[in-house]
Amino acid sequence: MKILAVEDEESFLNSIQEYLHAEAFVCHGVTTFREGVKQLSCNQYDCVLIDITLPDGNGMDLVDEVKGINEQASIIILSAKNSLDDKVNGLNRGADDYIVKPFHLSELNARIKAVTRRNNATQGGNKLEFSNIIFHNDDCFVTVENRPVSLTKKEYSVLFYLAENKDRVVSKDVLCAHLWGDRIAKDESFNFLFSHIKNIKKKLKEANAAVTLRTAYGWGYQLRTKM
Amino acid sequence: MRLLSIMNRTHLLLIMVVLIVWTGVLFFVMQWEVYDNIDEVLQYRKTKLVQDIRKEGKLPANSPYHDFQITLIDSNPPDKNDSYQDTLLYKSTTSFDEYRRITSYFEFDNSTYRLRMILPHLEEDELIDTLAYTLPLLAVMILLGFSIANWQINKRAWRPFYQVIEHFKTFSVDKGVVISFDRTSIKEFKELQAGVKELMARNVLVYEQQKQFTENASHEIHTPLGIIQSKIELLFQQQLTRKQGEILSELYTATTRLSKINETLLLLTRIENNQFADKSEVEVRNMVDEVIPFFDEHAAKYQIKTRVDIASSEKIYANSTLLSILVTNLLKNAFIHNKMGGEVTIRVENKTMRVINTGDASIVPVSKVFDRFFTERPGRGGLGLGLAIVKSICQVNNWDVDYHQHDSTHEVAVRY
Repeated sequence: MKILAVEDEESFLNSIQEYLHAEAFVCHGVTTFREGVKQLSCNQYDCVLIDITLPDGNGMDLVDEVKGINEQASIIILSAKNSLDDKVNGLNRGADDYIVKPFHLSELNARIKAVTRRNNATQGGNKLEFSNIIFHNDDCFVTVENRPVSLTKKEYSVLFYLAENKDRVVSKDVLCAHLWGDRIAKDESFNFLFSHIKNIKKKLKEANAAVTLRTAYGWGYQLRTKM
Repeated sequence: MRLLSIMNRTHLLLIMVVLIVWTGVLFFVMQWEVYDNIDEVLQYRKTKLVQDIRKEGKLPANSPYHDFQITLIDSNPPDKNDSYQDTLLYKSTTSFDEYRRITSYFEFDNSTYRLRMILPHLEEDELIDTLAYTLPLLAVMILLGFSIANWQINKRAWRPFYQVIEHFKTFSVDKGVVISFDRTSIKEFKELQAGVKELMARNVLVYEQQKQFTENASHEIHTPLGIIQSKIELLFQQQLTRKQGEILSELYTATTRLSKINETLLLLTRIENNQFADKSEVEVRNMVDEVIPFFDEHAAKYQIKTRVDIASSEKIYANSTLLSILVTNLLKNAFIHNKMGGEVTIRVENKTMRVINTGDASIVPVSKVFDRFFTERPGRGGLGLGLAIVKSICQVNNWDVDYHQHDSTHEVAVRY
């Protein structure tokens, strides 16, 4: 998959590129509006990440450019402004998703996969295969070798997020933010996450899923294919 | 009371007082005029009669049909000057007429005669009656005239003034609309319109600048935070020792906490700047049902019973984002400060939302509950901004919010 990231903060752009590179994505990074347009005209991209505040233009206008040059590309807006106006405006102009800075790289990665999957989901539905597990994303259930595994909504959500960021260590802060936002107290949420992970591990083991859910000491979790 | 009503009232009161005083004056002046006139007539007739008697050389015979009476008097009268009196003559046994009588003395044939002559005059009662009929009529006419005049003034001259008031009522700084007034020829209103226009324009400008500043500041803080966060995330992917991982994990937690504070303070500013102006009828029941599942684990762990007492038809006119934040913060508060086997109730009825929870019996300082960064038990994961946000949301919506505690039951009530 080919991705173009337009982000004026170089240091941040590097992080994005590095994280996505490990995903085996080709990720081009540019820091200005003009370079963005140039890249768009000589490459076909599957997904374009656009920062709204660029030094030489408004990212919103770049959304129009993408729609004109590279119509099938998915667009995700990266914004430091958590304002509803921008969100509505961006989505109206044809963006597929809107993510507010500062975001977690794993979250960005999950969103990229979600929008590209949605755009390519014409045949076979919205499914994700990982090892011998299939995620049926439209109905939020999991099958292991065609046998359904009964996961709760939150367990599904955690497992799916880990599968999207497979082989990476995903911090427990990120998973908690993914599940609850800031609705519950942090120390409590770590405990609840821990018990959800425990249940998922048990259920995957019972279903003979060929994956390992590893705890990276105290700070995060990682989903890998069983060797 | 309306400005015009006050003016009308003052004017009408003044007119009433003037009319009453004037009625008194009119009564006395007219009475004096009537007497003056009648006395003059009596005087003239007396002089004429005495002249006639002298000319003819004999006295006229007294007759009941005459309005005068001539009497021979023996002794000299005490006062020979003419005198006037009011006298009453009975028409029947019950009613009588008022007459004016002149008493005069004259010499004839070396004798002194007394002449009494009467003339009916306008009665006092009749005069009062006349005034009583005509003056209220005058008052009514003045009143009517005044009302019509004011109605016209109100319609024409004061229109720009009420237009300005109307604009003030509907003025909303975040809409950024440049208003236009109808042209007026009245100098004061021209000045008022110009003043209001400038004030509104300046407000819109200041608001825009502040909005820009808040957004820029948030952007400036978010960017380095985002970089730190992303770099830590990349570090997580390296081969780390346990110790390194733990340090990194703590760094990461602190960073997310910092960005949470930044976001929350920005949210508070934006609420206070009224940047959530879009309102609609929000179905509360649905909203609460969506929020409750986030507290499932918490409720299960502490065996907390959750009660939602909201009719499905219940609607609140509000910004849905803000209402959701309000509900979430109140519920979060109710779950965090609860106890083992406790209860959380959320009830919406009679335009009031109540969130009631069991908890500690220790007294919470009511005045501080809604303060920023106030937490009862620091280090419990909360920033102490939840209820401060609730208060801000209530303030921008003009809702009342208060906190009560009965023993170990705590209640926050929002009257919308």
